[in-house]
Amino acid sequence: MSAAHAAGVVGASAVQVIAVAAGGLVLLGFMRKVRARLEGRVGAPILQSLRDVRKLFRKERIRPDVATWIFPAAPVVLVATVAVAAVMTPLITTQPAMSGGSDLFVVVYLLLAGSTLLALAGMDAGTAFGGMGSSRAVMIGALAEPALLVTILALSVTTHSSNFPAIVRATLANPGLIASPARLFAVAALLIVIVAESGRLPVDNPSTHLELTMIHEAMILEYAGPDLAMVTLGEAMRLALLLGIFVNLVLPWGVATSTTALGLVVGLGALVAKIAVLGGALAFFEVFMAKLRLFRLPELMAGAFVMALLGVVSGLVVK
Amino acid sequence: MTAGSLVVIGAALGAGAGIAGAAMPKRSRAAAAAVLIWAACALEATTAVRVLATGHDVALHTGKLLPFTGINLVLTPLGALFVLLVALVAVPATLFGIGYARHAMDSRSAASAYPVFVTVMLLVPAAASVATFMVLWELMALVSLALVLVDHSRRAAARSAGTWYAVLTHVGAAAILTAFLILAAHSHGQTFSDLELHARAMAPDLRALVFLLALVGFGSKAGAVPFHVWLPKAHAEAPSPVSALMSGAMVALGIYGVVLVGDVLLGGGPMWWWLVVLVLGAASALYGSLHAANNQDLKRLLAYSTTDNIGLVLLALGASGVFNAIGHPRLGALSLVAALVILLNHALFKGALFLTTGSVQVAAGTRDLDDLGGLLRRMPQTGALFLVAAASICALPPLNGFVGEWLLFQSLLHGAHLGNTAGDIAIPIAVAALALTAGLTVAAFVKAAGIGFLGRPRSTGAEAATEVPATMRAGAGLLVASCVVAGVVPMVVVSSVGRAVRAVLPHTGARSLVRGVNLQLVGMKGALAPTILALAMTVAVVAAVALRRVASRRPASRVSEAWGCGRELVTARMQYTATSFAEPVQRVFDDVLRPVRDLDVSHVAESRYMVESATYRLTVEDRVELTLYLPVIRAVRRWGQAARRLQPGSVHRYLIYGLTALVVTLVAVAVLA
Amino acid sequence: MRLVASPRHADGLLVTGPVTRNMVGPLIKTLEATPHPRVVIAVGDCACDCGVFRGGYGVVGAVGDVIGVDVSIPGCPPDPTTIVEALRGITGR
Repeated sequence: MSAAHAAGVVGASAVQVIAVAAGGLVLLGFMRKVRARLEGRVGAPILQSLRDVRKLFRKERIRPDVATWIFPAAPVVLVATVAVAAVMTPLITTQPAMSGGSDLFVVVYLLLAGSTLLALAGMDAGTAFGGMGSSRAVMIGALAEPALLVTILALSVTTHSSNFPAIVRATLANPGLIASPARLFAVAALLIVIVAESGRLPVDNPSTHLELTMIHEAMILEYAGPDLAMVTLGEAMRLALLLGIFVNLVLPWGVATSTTALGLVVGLGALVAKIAVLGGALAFFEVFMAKLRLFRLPELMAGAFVMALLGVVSGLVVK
Repeated sequence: MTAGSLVVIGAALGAGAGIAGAAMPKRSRAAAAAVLIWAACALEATTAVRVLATGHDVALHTGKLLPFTGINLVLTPLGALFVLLVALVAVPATLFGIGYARHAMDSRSAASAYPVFVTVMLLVPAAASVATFMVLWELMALVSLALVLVDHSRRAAARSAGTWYAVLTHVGAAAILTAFLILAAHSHGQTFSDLELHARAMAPDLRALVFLLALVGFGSKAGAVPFHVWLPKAHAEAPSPVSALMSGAMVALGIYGVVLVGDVLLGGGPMWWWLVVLVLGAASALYGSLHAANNQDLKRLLAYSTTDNIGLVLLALGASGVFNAIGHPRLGALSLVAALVILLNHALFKGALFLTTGSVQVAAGTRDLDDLGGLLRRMPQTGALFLVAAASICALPPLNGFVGEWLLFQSLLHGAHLGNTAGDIAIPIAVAALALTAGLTVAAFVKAAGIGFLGRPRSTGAEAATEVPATMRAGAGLLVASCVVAGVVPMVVVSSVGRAVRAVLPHTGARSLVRGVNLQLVGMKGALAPTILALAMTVAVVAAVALRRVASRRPASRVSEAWGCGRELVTARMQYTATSFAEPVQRVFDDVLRPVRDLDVSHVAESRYMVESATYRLTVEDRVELTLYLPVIRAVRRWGQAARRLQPGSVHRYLIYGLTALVVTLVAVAVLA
Repeated sequence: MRLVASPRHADGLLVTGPVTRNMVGPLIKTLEATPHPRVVIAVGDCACDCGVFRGGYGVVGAVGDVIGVDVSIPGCPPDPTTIVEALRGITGR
């Protein structure tokens, strides 16, 4: 690999990370705006999340007295793992950096690494709510894992590989795959799992103030200032990444198959449009949905698991 | 010096270490034995590396030492891999033991049994005849039993653990011996090469019986459900370096036995054998991880987690056999590589976890998670080592557990399209089991690390904990360092495993399965770039830290009391306990676990309406133990009580028994002859 | 302007009512938990100068007697428009 090529790869990766970061914050604002309009309010401006993060960076940093190095490390690792996952995901082009090792399995586990460390940080302050948030988050993670991995199996079975760009390319080459029963079941299961992993309704309400209803929020009650800014940034990037993965697995048209400038611009535009539509649809349904009771969530996850399993079986049976 | 003589010298050094442990004075016992053990491990490991590198076996035969049969040692590449595994765990555990000896293992019996244990485990993979194998196997069991019982005079739990272990390991040994005897009866000699030669000619039913007996025997040593009940007891009561060796190395030898009988001696078999192994593996993985997530004793949690990982290894083994049986040898080899990589990684991180738990037990005086807490501030290095080892076992990138899981997932993925109905049903279920255990393992270890090391201490013991001596930290540190290395540059591990697998399954038709600096599957689409991944993660972390520093205007952070809604009194009692942390998972799986709930309410003397104190206790019992083993034990006890009636103590009665037995035997012989 | 669940996430504290003996500690802890830069807004006569509860046996004082107050909104109760204008004065929008 020549120096110029390496520089190009690094540059493209940095652009992809920044796009995911900024795009994630804008996406949060956009979804909030859609909800507000549907509820009959004006709502905050779409770019408010960016301003919030900037404001948080400028606030004072606070550390609880019994916290250890885990407390400041968790937001950093959260952002870092999501950034690495974003670099290896074929969001804009089918040739992201590290495409040789770009594997759906790796992306899933990178996201898991970030959320595991955040769960640990929730327990670091020695508060009751932190422990509660971690305990519930870990339970949901444990139940979402089977559905997620079987979904990856369902998606990989038809292409004989879990290499992410390969799956996207296979779908581009063979559009009929979209309508195969395996794909449809896997997509439905993936949607439920993505809602669970990013902590949106009906699994978790990101804007609740009642601690006993919190799952993810409870883990970050102790964070202030720059740490909180990093956590918000990490969560926004995660949401954008998960939705980007979803749209590129389901409807990959528009993804650049070459590295020409025009192709990349078209890819970026297509990605933004698709994520906006999906985010808007999610926000739309959130208005009409209430949060599920905590112990109804296993049933939801089991439903996702069964659908994913049906996807695998139909992928093997229906040729 | 021939490789064979190195093995002998190594064994002699190990025996010498045992003598040193018994003979030397208390202060230098552990160190002297340790040095000799390290020398023995080094010699055996060198031989093993040579065997793996060249692919040639090293053979040793002597007619002395064992009557009638002599000792037969042949180090094959597969055996060499396991010798390396044992050495990799034994060296750090022994280093740990030097510091630990002051607390628990300073008696002569423990100090002499431990080196013998290590030496025998180094020799078991080299055994090449039934007699040698059984002698070494039984010796290993007896010596480890002695080590489990080190504390028997002080704790009833240690005695009970010893009893369970003794009975179950001998039942397992009986099954293994029966299997070997059936094989030996059909061949001319009792060396493994003879057995292998003649096993093909046996009837399929007999081969199936041999395989199932070996699976039961070796599976019980490995800790597969439903033969695992001794594992949580014995591993929890043994001293920590011994637990590390038992969980890391001894259960690996159980897997060695399954591979030996299944793949080497019997040469693979029909698909249904390996489906049984796969189902056993899936059940063990799910059961182990579920109990690990719900157990509050730190060592029992780790022991159930061992059952979980062994389940994954058996899952991979079963998949390997299934793929071989339906005619896809390359996939079969890949699955076997995945199984052995997971096993090796498990030895490393489970060893590290047990050693750090031992440090915690020494420092805080307890291993009950409900009484620990705040240890990361009081024992920073031990805590950090535990956290890294816990991250490894949760298979988080870029550590070694992740590599094993990826390999297993890839082998299952590529085997999902083979057009075989049993395989098509088994593969998704295997993936589902793999995923659910991954999630429950994360739950278990976030609980262990978070409740045990973070927050405030929940007891005076935990509050008074201080960092342990340097040897103990160094021992755990060595294992954690090897976890990191095995995760960032797994080619070292995978290529050695590949060589061993190539010797066991030579018909793969490819020179190597995995190649390149990245792990690239040959002949299949799939690649992992662990070094680049680790590098990318490091760069990303540095960039994120830089971002935070650059973007924030006030870099200094203020220390403030944790936010508790303005409450005046914030104590350790406000935190979650391990039981409460596990409660959501326990509620989801309530029907399977059926925990026992105990609520003790004591009222104020004056009035029954006012509560003075209330204690709530939730215990999760081992269901397999309650439903399978306790009825058998009760039946045996009843039978024993009934048999007491035949023993009135009268000599006349006993003489009549003897005479009757003699007459009946003579009549029977006359009739049958 | 958004309500948040923890003072660590907050930029400002909105306090109503006089400060009673039991609430002195929690009020100070809440303020201490809020990161700088922060704003304390006292809403209502009772928060500004104890209102009708002045001299009560459980009352320690107004909010300004316990912690510093940046914005006071008098009234019993204050007019909604007064509150909105005062809040707008803080954010500058």
